[in-house]
Amino acid sequence: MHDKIRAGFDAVAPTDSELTALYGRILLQAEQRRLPRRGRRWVLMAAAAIALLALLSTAGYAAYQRWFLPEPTEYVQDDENPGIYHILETNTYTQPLETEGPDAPLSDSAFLQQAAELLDRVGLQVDASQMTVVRQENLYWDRTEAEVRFDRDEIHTSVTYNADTGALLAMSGIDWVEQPPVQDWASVEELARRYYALLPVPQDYVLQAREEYDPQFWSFDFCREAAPGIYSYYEMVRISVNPVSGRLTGVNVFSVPLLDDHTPADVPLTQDQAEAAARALPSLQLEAYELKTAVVTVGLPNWSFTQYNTSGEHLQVSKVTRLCWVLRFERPNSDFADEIEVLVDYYTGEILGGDVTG
Amino acid sequence: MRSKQELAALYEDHARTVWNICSAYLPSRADVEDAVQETFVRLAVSSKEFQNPVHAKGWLILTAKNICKDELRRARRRAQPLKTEPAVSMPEPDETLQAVRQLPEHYRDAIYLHYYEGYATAEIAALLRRRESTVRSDLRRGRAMLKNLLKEEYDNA
Repeated sequence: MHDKIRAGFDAVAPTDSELTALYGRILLQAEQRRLPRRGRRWVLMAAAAIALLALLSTAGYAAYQRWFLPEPTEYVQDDENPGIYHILETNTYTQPLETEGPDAPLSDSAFLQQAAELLDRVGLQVDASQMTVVRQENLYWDRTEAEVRFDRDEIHTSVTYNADTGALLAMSGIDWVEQPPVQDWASVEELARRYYALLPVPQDYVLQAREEYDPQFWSFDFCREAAPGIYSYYEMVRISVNPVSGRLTGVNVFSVPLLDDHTPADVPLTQDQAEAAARALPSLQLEAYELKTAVVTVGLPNWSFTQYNTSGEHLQVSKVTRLCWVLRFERPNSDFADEIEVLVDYYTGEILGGDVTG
Repeated sequence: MRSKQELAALYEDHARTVWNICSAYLPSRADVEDAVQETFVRLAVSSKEFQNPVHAKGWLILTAKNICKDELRRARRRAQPLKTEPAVSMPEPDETLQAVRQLPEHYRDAIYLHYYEGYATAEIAALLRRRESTVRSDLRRGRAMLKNLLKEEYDNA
């Protein structure tokens, strides 16, 4: 694969003389673009002054809005694990969130047997003696995983479990089971539902989304209704089906519970308040950005952009999700990195994190 | 505004990378040349200061991608195919590159940077401003999809 990809790009690579000639054209074009700009210097300076005044007004308004917001809930750092932050247990954990694990650690042979049975259930007979178990740390989700692997004909099949609880996490590379061809969404959805029913996962999730990754790979997302009318994509089973063959091609299971500890007296933030909270964050500098979408949904805190994380690195994500406003800002006429997503707690206004998505 | 010296150094270091990125998006050499030219012209007139070489390379890659995507959007809006008759003869892209071009954008970038440029997932994450886990997943899926596409090529041959 590696050599093929290299050869593919090398076949269309430019020669040195082509690159030299192109550089000459770049210099010429750049010079042409620079010239008119010099002539417009005064106009640009005046425009910049007006823009500065507008930004100052926006920042002032944002600070004013921020004054109305409730005091944010504190998140504390775990002393034994620097860089990891937990929501304060005293005021947030109102129900047990951890599911009980098995009494004894699951052995490799137990995972092998489970994986072979599961693959058999979805129509793939494999020889368990050819399978191997690899245990690995998943730093993003902070868990140990046991991946059962089986290779055949250059296709890598894997079934991944949580090594501590034994819960199914993912299946992939199971795409050579022959089944009658199907073509339309309704038929493929029916197949996805059948595969879903065969898996050792919660069975009360509701189909919320479907997506065509490519013509050979359609996915169906079954989600839990985590709050009235709000479905969590962090408590989700994603079933992927090949629409041509009808074969199951992959499974992903997400199980991050919602921590919803608000009282009936708590008043949720309005969209304007949530936007003001995001704009008031100094590290984001959202003055030049326009708010494009705002939805209330279940979000996963990652504390990007916050005082806990000014380095720009992503911290480990939370073990629980929160109800939040997800605000998507876009910078018009930007060359790159022009979208920023910000998560604002629905009840406290705390910035829970976000992402640069442009 | 960038000095000619700085521009020349950045061009020498990154022109081939930018060319390859554009080749992964655009079907003809003429379009690729235009996109590479536009990328470096924007660099020349930009006053953007780079913190390090990775930052500069990331900026160039993202800018080149956006220029290519704009060109593809414009072509789609015009309902016209992109230039198919290059001014200068261009070698026929092999089936692997054609398959790479069929991949969704995020898979394509990760596959190119990992397999051609030899970057590790953490470096790709920094270049493309994505999470490392996302890059790993993109690589895995892109590789699987590429294998399927190439298998079809063989099957159809």
